[in-house]
Amino acid sequence: MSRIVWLAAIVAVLVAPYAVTSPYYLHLLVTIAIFSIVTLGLDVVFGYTGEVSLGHAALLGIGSYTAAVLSMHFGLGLWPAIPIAITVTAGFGALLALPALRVTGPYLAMVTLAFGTIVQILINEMTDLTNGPLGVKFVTPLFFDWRPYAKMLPFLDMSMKRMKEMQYFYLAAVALLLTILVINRVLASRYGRAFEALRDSPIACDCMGVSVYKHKVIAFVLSAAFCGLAGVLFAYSEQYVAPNNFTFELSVQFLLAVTMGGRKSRLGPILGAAIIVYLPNLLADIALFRIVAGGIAAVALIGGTISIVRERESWRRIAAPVALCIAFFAFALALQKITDFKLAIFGVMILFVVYYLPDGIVGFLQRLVVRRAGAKILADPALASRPEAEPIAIRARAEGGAALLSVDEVVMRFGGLKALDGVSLSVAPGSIHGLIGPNGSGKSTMMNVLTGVYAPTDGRVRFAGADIAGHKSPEIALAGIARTFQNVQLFGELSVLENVLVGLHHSYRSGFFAIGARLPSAKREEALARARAMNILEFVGLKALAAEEARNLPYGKQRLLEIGRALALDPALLLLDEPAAGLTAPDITELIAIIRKIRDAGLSVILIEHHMDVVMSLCDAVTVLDFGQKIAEGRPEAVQRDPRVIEAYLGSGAAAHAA
Amino acid sequence: MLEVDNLVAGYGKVKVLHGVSLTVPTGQVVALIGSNGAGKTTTLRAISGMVKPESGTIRLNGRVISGLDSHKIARLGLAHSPEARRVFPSLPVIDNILLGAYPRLTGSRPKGDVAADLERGFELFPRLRERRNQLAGTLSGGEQQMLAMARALMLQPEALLLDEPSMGLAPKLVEEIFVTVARLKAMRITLLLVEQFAAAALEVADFGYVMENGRVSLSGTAKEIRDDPAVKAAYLGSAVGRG
Repeated sequence: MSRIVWLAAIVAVLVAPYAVTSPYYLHLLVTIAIFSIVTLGLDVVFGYTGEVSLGHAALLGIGSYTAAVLSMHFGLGLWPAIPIAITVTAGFGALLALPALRVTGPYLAMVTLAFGTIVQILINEMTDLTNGPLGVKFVTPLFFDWRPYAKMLPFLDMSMKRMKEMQYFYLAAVALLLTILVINRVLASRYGRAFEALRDSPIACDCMGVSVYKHKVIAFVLSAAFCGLAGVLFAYSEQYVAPNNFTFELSVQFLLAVTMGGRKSRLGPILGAAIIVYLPNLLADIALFRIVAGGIAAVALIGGTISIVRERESWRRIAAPVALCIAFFAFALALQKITDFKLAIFGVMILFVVYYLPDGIVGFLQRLVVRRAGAKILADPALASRPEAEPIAIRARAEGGAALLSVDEVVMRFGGLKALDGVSLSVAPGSIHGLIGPNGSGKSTMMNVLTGVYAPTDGRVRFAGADIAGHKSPEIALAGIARTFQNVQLFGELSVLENVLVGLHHSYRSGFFAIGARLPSAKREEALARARAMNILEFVGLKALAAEEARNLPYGKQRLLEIGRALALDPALLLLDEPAAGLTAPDITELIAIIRKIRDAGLSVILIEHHMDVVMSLCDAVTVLDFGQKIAEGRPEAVQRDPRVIEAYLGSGAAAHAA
Repeated sequence: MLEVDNLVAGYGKVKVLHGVSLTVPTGQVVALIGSNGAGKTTTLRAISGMVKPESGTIRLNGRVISGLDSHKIARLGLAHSPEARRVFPSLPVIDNILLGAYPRLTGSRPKGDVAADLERGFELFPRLRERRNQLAGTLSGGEQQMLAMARALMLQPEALLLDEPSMGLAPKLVEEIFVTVARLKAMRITLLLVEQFAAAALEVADFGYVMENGRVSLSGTAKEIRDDPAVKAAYLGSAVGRG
């Protein structure tokens, strides 16, 4: 966020208690700030990693009840409660996430749903610890008594009650601003990139050495920690907590807040929190409700007209939502008693947002007002010449004279089908090894076995002196095997530069504290990684496109970006799965030059390719597979003449010429 | 006849096409060639409505189809066999093919004889008949490409867009694909073909267009394009200099 926005936010916080003199509305603002902390944290899980949590109210409750237990049984106040509650809630978050995120699918939603119910029941039943349904009372502390300074501070209200209210408001506001700051920094760091990357392509994420499982858990625990902070603040703000503060409905409201406000933004979840906190008031006051409904109708009418005039949308698309907004206003005018319709109105709002504002209010406004600017690059050219920023580095070496990779009698069985049937091959250091064969002959299966996507049914795989068969993808990636994918697996919503930075994830050392506090070491590390990423992009010829979203690149450039991202892993062995597919002759010439440079730098390459001229001009040795078995192996010229290879794969040769 | 006039399109703020015009006469094959990122795939995507054109008109047999949703364009008789094939992996082969005839079964296209067309598809691609009950996701790359083409033909299209049918296929299969394209030509299907194997594509085509940086840089009969020295040097030469 820019300095101006921050300054405006701080000024708004400072003057708010003077503008809002009613204790009731000041309390609402405090609640909005506290719920915003929850929704901002929830957005990390829901917006960024794409997992659904239905237990955030329960996590908030854990935070509040940690404060309650500390106050009731240990006489500890607000300040010690904050770090303890953050730790305890994060611990509960880990307890939930560790089993639930091991598998993909809706499990986190189900586990958190059950968790929410259990937490509420336990708080109710464990009366010795929690005081059960009776709840726990708190006293909001006075942080600073400014009465002795009455003469110097004539503009301040000196009553005890007002002092507490104002001070507590500032506390909540500061907590919210710090939350925004930390979340901004974490999301701009390697963690934020990992969260988005794992949603775009989990398999590529794992194969870049960034464990999808681990980072989903990290995101959830981070989110839970913010619930802990919010929980303590909530308890002291309400001055009373009871089990029914933390119902399942509240969890759903948090999700709605993030969706309505707008995911993947800071403003969206805050706006959403404001809506869910303020909505009950709105729905209790018919005059206010009519004004707001009228306002919405007016905005819809004006916004719709602008869209049609600018020809962004056809009138048919605009007509329905605008008509609905006007009908809603008419309904508001006709309505006599609002209380009967509270839930129905809430439901209509949800449906409306889901149908017509899928990106939330903030997403909608962004589209209407501004077009998204390209991602920032922030690379320091001074760092680019550092030796650590060289595009190619190699992490593992073969042990004296041995093969870098040796595959021994590998079998991969899927049900009754043997995709690989006792295949052996060996790759010498610094060589390019071709792997060819008809479609469906097991080449890609071999790639997946080598990178841990599949665990082989039988056989051994040794890489740089260690047995890697059956190891997990992130481990194998970090051991020094990088790959590209036949059907390109980029992180589409990340920029070209960020895709390479995900590959450089392994080069970072700084943790959450260093990132949140933006220590010099963390800044240096990020700057160096960016310099190196730019050098890698230059190496594959994509430097000019660094800020572009990866999904907007043409196919051939996407393939080059995959190679760049794989190089970022500092691999000793690079697996290229059909890098020339979809490329025309000039692009292929460029690709061949890049692969040669990679080999000359000392990497070994396994190349799956159907363009025979690419295979012939690059490979030191070629292995041919058919129906999961090796049918030929040797120098490329010899393999090309092998009658079995011609029969199974090459055909009469017309197509080879067409290439 | 498919006519594209001054088409401008792109993704978000990135403009890819800067005024592309081309014509595919009824019953003829037109090859669209060019280097990566020239905008060939985007042109096809804009024609079939998967990318909304920002300006320009596209006509199918005289009727303006630019700006319509892609399912409506399909119902008007434009079939698109997309890059990377996009078969429905968890449906059997036969259902994949029949989904291509969906607009005919729901009455938005003339129904004709669906069973006979299915039979014709199986004749064109005998391998698909053998695998008719297998899930499409378990097919090899070549078989998926055949499936995508068979599915597109089931629309009884007024025009067919074929995007990189040979991509990722073994050399032997690439030959087969070009044999199939020649058979489609013999069946008088109006065909717009995007291909990486420019030489083979121009061999089968009647007309050719060369795209560079989102514009058509050269057009003419396939023979004229083949004989153009600049095209020869840039696109028809093999990557390692073999002709």
